[in-house]
Amino acid sequence: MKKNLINNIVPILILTLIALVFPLSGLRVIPTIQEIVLRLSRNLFLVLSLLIPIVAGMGLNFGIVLGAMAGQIALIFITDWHIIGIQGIFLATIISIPFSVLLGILAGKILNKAKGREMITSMILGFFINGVYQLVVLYGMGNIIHITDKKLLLSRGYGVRNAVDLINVRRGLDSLINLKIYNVEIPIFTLLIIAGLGFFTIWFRKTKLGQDMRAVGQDMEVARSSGINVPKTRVLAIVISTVLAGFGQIIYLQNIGTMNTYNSHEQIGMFSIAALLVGGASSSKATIFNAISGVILFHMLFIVSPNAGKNIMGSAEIGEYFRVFISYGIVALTLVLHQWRRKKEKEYKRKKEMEAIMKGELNEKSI
Amino acid sequence: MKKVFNWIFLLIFVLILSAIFFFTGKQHKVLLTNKGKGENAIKTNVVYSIDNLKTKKIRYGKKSAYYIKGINHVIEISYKTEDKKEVKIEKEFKAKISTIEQIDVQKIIRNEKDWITYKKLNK
Repeated sequence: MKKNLINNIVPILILTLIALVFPLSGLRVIPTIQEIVLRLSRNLFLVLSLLIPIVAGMGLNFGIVLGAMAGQIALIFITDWHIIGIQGIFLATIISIPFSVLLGILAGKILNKAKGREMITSMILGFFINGVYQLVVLYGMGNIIHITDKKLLLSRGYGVRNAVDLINVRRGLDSLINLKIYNVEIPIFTLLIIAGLGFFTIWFRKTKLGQDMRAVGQDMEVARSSGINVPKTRVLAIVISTVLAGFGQIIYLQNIGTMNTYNSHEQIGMFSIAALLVGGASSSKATIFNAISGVILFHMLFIVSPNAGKNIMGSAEIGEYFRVFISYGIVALTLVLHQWRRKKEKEYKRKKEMEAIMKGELNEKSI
Repeated sequence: MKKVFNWIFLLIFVLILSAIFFFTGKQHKVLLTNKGKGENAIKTNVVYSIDNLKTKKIRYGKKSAYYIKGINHVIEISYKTEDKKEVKIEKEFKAKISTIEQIDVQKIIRNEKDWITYKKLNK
């Protein structure tokens, strides 16, 4: 009971906070549910793309930003070619795959050189690739990469504009199959795709590769000695995550309808990881339930806090500051707690081993 | 060897799928004109829709633009004759890549053959 409480302390804290603040926010239930459903369909795919590297023991993959960039490049291309509707979205997902795979391989190889420091390495790698992305989009497109639609380019003739209008693919997935229950619009098709990814993740964990990843995640040395190609398995985990993140970014942007060319991808890693951690996951264990509950709780904070701040203190901004402070403070605390717990476990394990060795020596001597 | 074949098969499948998405999702601009010349001109306003989508009206002597998606389309036009009788005409046409489709409504009304012309897009 106590252990369960400690393990789920983050979602319990956030849930308590929401329960306290929600009545003060003055929000009605149905519009809030509508907003949550919308945000769930928008963000859950990205959050689920984080699960596979966790299974492989690579922690929280901040490198999903790389996949997001691949998705955005694909969206720029389909906008330039004027491929509209659902076909545009599907074509963008196909185009994003080679970019995501290449970036995933690069990230995986680099992370293999930084074993044990994957999270910070993937975060910095995200910043580095962001620079390359900016160079390609700001200088290469229109100059080296041919862009037909001049409206997409800056007035100087090269470089993509700050905002790309995705009006032609806006809500292409969401509006394909729609259901309205009690004035709550549910994007069934998008949720089905997300459910598909959930089932894929469950199925994947049971496959040979999934079991290999789990073995690598538990102990790399044991996995290596049992014949598993550890570096390759780790690279594959990152590639899968990056490809899924590319799809996730396309789903995210088709829902919003505009792409901020140079910023849309930047916060994706942080937001998705924060949502997963708020759902009770850690950098070594995460489930689909963590992802779903995390997105709901994290985004409930987004919805509730500005209104609560406005009603309590007369300023929505104060509520927003409060949300940022609470949510990211909790993320930092979760990571610190996880690291502390891991260190304690290691110390305990080492102590036990030492005790066993000492006992063995004593026994040997006594014999 | 089997693995290589599987990859080749997958690649071909993805390429075909991409081509299908490209051609069926490509947006085209259709320019419609309702201008007549000489005695044959039927001076009437025309209401039209393509693929049963949004209905639009072109006054006599004016032009109109319409955006469509994919290759095969049906245009439906309706107009009133001098004796206030409503006439509906349906025509099928194909959109081509990198072209603007120019439809002459007057030619459709007069049942002439070359009512659609394709103009190359300036890149």
